[in-house]
Amino acid sequence: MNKLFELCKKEGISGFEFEIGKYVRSLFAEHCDETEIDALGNVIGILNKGKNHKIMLEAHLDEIGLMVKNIDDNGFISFVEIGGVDAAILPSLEVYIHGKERIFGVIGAKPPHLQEKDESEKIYKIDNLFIDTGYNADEIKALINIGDAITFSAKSTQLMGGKIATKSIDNRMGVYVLVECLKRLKNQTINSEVVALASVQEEVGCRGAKVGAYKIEPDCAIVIDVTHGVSPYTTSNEGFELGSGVAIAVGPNLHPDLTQKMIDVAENNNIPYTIEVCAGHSGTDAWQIQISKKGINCILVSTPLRYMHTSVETVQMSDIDAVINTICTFIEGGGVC
Amino acid sequence: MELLKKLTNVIAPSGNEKPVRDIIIDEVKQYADAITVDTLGNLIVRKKGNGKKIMLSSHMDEVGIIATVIDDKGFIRFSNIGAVNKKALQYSKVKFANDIVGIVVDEPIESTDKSTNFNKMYVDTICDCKVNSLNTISIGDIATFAPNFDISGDLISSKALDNRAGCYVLIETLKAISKTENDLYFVFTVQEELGLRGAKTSTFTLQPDYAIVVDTTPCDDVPSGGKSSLKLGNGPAIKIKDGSIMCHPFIKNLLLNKAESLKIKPQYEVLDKGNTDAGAIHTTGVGVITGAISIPLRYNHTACEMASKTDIENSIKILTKVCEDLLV
Amino acid sequence: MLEKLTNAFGVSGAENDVREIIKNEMSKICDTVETDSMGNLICFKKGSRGYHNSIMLTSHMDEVGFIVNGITKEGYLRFKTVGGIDARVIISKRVIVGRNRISGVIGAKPTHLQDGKGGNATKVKDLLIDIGANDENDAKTKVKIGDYICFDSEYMEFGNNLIKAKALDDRIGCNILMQLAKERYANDVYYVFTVQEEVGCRGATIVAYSVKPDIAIVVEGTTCSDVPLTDDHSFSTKLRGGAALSILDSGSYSDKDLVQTLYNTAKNNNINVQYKQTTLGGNDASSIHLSREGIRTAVISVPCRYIHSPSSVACKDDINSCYNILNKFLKEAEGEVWNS
Repeated sequence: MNKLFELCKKEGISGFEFEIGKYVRSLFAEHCDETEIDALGNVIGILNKGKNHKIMLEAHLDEIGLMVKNIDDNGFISFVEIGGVDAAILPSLEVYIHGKERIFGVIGAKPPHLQEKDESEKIYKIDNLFIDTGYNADEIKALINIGDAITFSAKSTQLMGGKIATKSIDNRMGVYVLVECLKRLKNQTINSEVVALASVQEEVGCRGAKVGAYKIEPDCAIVIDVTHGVSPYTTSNEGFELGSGVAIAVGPNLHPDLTQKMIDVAENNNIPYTIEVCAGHSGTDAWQIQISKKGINCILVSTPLRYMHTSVETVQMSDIDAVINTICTFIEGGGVC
Repeated sequence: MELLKKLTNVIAPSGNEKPVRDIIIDEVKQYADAITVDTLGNLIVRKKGNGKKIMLSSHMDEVGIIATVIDDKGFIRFSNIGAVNKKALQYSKVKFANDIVGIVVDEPIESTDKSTNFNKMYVDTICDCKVNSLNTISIGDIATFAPNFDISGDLISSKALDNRAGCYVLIETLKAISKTENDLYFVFTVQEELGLRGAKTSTFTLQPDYAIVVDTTPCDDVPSGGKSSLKLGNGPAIKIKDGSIMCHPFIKNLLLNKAESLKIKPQYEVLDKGNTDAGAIHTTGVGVITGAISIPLRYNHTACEMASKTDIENSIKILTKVCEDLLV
Repeated sequence: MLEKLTNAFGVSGAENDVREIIKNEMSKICDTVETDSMGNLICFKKGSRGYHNSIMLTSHMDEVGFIVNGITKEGYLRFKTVGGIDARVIISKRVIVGRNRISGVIGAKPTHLQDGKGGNATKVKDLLIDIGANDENDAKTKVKIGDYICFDSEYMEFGNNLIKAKALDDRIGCNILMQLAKERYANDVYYVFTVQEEVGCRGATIVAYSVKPDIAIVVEGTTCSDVPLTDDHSFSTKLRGGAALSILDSGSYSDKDLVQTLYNTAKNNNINVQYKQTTLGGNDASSIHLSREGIRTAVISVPCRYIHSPSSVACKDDINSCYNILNKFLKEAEGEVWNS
């Protein structure tokens, strides 16, 4: 749990993953024969190099956030979203701006007393929000610049029943799974080369995965991401119960035979699982990976996550363990493409 | 700016870039070591060197319209090529590749339809031989806003500054470079306005180490404008991001260093939506370290786009220095 | 053969049945037949003259359909669409579900029980398929989550030389390719049957990368809206107007020389031909033309009314026109130099 918290705490929005990239590389290096960072910042770790069958495990490294758009004459900062940010979460949110220094700020909004009658019922638009750093224009312009990254501040909170809530479980959970899989597989005899890819810029268009898959050219890929969890705002038609285990995806984006093998592994090893139907775009890096060069067969495994893309994302640890277990058992059992 | 005027005066929307390509080849041939045109029509001009492979890129195409149906009275129905501004078309003069001029009208005349469906619009051509003609307009014929280059002081207004201004910057940079050890590829791409298409295939062929795109970008320093920080005449903009790319810090810093050494104060571009060739380039193949210089532009995709002469000239200076200094 | 092809089950992601039919025939007449990782079928016939330039003809095997997303307590099936389907055309239609090919219906509230007429169309997420099961467990003996679902609509000839069937887009194209493959032409020809076009031209992306042809022609079924309440200039194509050549569509700008050659071939041989008049709609050309360093690509289509519905309609004459133009083109191609 602490390792996961550590990863979620790290600050790295899409396009600004260089610092967290170095950290993840060091985690990979504890278990891998080789590690590298490519042109866009993807982190690659290779285990068992040279076997004639290559499996790629992939999870995206970046988180959603904001970016400084402009600084007005009073020092208030306007911003744009990086990745899919729901403006509804922003009012009163605490953030950090990464300029020459790491500056704390609050996303402000109009006080209720001063709002028109209908105004208070509409969600704020990003254009009407601003960040207050407590500095005036000259002071803040010396510290930060247009284009600087802004991350959400978030505590890590333990809830009941083995659940945790923090920012960026989407998809630091996936990176955590990569590290844990490498750790476990290192000590096994397996007949595949395993390449872990922690991709950049998924939240802005699956960009890192596209070039990573092109370079690595695996025989097949297991993509790890999050899916929606049932909550008061997400019905069981739209998501999966926390605690229901690993969600294995089916649909045109995923290879039917490989996916069935994955399902069999969960079934035969008493690992709790559900089936997730993706009728087209799976909403993950698997969409880009599947059509790389001559094609890469994909499997997609996810953990249910409540309140996705907020700073209070909530997950159940046992679901994450189910993902790790399924992947490792699949590979240890000689999961062949 | 005569060359820029010449570049904007041709009719060359996406898929029909030959007139621009011909002008460029003519301008650069004495400065180039190799000139190739690829399958889709991208123009690749190489200045050989032993150093790193650097791709400098601007798109040749502009937005426009394509004739779909010509009725028996000679009125022309059309579809859009790229995201041409529908409001800007209303009552505008357009010119076809065969020099016929027409006026675009929305039916009904008082239409407030905000959709981007061009279905209810038509072109009324100023042509004696409209009906029963053999030589006028047929399906597939293309047109753009009629040429209208004007310059006064620092301000230039014309159709197609997006992105003939970028092409102009590339051409002048190529001419200005004294010597370099970098292996330079000046790539004039096709079909950017249809979805960054030429950039994909040309980058695949080159697989450069670095890429810098020169394109225009909207600036809102007008009464009806938004909250962008960009102002016309305040300098070329170093692109931080747009809808298709998070620019690589290496290129951002490189451009900043060169600008500072030339005592040019750049602006910074953070564009929420809107895509450029840089988006296609950086994710091609194994990935390319990519960034961009943007020329601030008012009234994109209309008949009269507006740019600053100094912004364009300073872009040339920065790019020239990037090309001349050895890149490691 | 067209009847066999259109009746077959082949939703994007589950094209097996269609591929088997095509593979059986093509194995008899082609030099090599291969299936790639996504299920694309690549058939090759070496040219009779040893020219090194290759032509790739493609049609997609998949059709739009649905996929089971959940099973209710009562045994009804919740579903999602695979590819673009207007929810309004699926009310009161029959479907076939999953590997066991179970019959089902998408029902509707009887008008007697509705509050007035009109109102908003029901969304797909609120529609259910009835397979006649007693409850959830009963349903699960026959179907499961992730099963693909196809329209149930039989091939029929009617009217004045017309055909009604599901999946004319693009089993018509597949059929034309199979007919063309009966001959050997001067150039190397790849007959490629792609998967997953309807969910984003996915199969074509990897197959263009593998095959690397010099030119490519996509053979499709396209929108034909020459019906009442549509402006003349919005018809797109006209039924009985012959095969339609695309100039520009939402996915690609066709290669001008290739289009001109196809048009001239039609005119010189007195074959009915038209240009597609709208610039809407995309197809496999969008992926193919941007593969690697770029491929010269054109699109030729057979007009289909009511495309992406269980009852699409095409005219046999237009199908013949398309076949004839391509047949003549391949005969006259004779080792042209395709690359400038």
